[in-house]
Amino acid sequence: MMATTLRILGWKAEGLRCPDHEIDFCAERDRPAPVSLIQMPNGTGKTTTLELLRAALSGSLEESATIGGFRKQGAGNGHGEFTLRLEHDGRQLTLLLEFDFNMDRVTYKTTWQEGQELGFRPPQRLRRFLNENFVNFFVFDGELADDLRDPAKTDARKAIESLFQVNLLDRMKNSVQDYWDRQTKNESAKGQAGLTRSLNRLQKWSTRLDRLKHEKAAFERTHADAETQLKRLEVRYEEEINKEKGRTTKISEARNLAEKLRNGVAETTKAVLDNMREPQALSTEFAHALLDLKSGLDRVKLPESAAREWFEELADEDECVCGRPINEDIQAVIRERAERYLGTDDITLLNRIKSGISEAVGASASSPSEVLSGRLRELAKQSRQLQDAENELVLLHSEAEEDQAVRVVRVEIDRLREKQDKIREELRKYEDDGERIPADRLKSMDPEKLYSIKVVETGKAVFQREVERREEIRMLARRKDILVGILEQAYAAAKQEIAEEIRDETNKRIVRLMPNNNIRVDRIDGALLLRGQSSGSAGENLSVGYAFLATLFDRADEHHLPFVVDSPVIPIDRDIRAPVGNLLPRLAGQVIAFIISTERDVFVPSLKAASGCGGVQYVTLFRKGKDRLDARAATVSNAVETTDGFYVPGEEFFVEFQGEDEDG
Amino acid sequence: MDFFIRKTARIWFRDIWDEFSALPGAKAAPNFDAFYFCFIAGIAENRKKDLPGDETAQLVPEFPEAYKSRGALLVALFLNREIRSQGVLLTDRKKVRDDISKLINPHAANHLSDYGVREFNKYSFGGYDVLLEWFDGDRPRSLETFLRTFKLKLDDAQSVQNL
Repeated sequence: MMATTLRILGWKAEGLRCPDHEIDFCAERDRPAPVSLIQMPNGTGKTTTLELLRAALSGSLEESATIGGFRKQGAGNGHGEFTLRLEHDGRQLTLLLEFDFNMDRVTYKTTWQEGQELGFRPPQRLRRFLNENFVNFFVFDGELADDLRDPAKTDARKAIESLFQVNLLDRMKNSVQDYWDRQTKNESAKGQAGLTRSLNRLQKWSTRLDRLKHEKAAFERTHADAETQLKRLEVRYEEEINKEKGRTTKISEARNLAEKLRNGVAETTKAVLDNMREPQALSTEFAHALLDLKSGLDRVKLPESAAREWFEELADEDECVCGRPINEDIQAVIRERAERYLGTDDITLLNRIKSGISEAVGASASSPSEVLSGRLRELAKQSRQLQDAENELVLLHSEAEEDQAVRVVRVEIDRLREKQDKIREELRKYEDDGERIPADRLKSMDPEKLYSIKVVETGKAVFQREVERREEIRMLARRKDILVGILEQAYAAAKQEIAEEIRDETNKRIVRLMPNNNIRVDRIDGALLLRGQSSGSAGENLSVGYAFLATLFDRADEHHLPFVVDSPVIPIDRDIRAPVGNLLPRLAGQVIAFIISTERDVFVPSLKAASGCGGVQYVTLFRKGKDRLDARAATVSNAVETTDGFYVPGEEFFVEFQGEDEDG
Repeated sequence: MDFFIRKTARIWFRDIWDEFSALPGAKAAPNFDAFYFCFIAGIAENRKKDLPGDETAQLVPEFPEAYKSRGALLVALFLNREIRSQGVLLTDRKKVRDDISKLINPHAANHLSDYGVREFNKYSFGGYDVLLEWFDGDRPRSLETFLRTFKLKLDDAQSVQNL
């Protein structure tokens, strides 16, 4: 975890309820003073200044409905400004609040590395501290220490979570859950129900596939049996025929001739088929159509020699090839007219088509067709010869089948061949693989209505993949649940443990602050809950608050935040002021305390002593109008007089200052 | 986009399906042979037909091996027929170019745009009706007879058109 440092360099208020003033905490040195005491009598806008600080640090006025409470009374032009200068990790961060009282609106402006931005835009690393809840812990009102024990006003647990980043665990859990929800948002049934449904479907398709394969195998066996029988019968048929030697020789010769002619027809048919795959050979009409297309394209000069891209590139140039400048109007015309030209790839394709036509029919439009016609004539001749040979064979067989024994075998052979034809017809259903059915269509089909083994195999594979995917989802769901559970437990345990540690250390500090007092923190929930009592005296509550805050800031040594406190010892008994004075400088690297003159006694000397060599910066700020004070302030060098107040630096004026409304 | 064949056309050709062979070394493509003869009949008679998806079966997105070298010629025959069917004269450069641009896609395996393939398929769908007329509804029983009859019917159809 990287350390985060935030320091207040100063602020400036103008046109607001408090006197116009500017405070610079680096006025007396390069770095802000470790302790700055700002003495402001009651009625000089101390509360307003504190509220401005909180508003600047939390962005709380960005969405605020009313800001009238900040308006300077009896004067002003309806506008005010509060500028807070901060240092974050060695770089200046400025938050500007522009008040427009006529529009009842505050405009935030943030100046950080990239310059000024509209809105409250603190750097990412500060955001968990710069919010309304957390700011109340380091811009603290001593008179309102009771708030620490009121869960409606304080969320101490949340502050601890922000400071120690325990809520990272909760955010990790939410991120895991969000990621899971995003990844599975299209899954209709994510759990066991979805898997079961897919398994049932897979089972249905699998069963259908098994049955189809079984049926097909049965048909194939029957076909094979018939084939075996056929072979046997054909042998017997030959044997019966061969019983008469004369007809055997004739049939054998006729059969050989028919076989030879059949092979010839098959070969020629193959050649004719391949020849007919050429449209220019199929018909001279087609050959002429191809030539017409080519010559037509040549005539209209298509494709053009220049491609569309050439004109599009030309339109991007400043100057035409003819040397004339190309302005926006000409560019538009060129681009529009470029559409009239074909693209480079279109041109290449058209040229390929044209050269294909030239190669196919360029020499002669009729010769491809003549070649095919010649082959077809040859095929017709071979077919006639084959027909004659087969007729002769049939005739010879018919003569032989006048013999009862031969005829009986022939009838059986015909029956078996007819049976095989029917089986082949059936097998065609199972072997059909011509159609490719998309997976989403297969999912909605009933496998019982399908016969193609290939299609059903594809369907089974689709559901197999779906089952695998759902199993993976279910396994991931289990892992996700375990991870979320671990993060939830870790989050709860971390919150509990840190809260208990903070409580125990707070109680130790309370003992040091008030050795003779039994008040203790029982637990830290939304607020600080006291052991055995609902509340203490105002002094006790403030002491408990300091003990808690000291523990909080001491523990969070990765984060160096300033501590601003208003009325640090007003409600505290005189005997506790010294320990509080000792404690405050140790609370944070920068402590700014707003006090009134009656708080100085005991507290300031002990605080000064505890601040050591770093020293204390003293500032007195009061509203103009009391002659005695105004005259005295005017004698102090470095004092600044504003339209309605005095800003007086220095210890001497600070310790002798008596606000008239405080000391009566 | 793929070529599609009429499902009923595949059934019509089933007796000669196994004879739709390729020359040695090439892979047989009986589906495309059936598609091709339907297409040629459709082109010859200028018969196009649109069909709902469930009456057609998907084939392949490119010309199979036996047609690879002839694909450009089939596209040319198709372009010529389409341009003439639109009543566009081959002398009208702009209209010819516009029509061709709409029908071709140099990046597609079959050189046709999606629109072009759809129109191409329509000749095959319509051509099947032509085959039924040419063969009086009889299914071909042997390839040799089919090829000879197909050629005769094609010649007849074109001579009638030339009258």
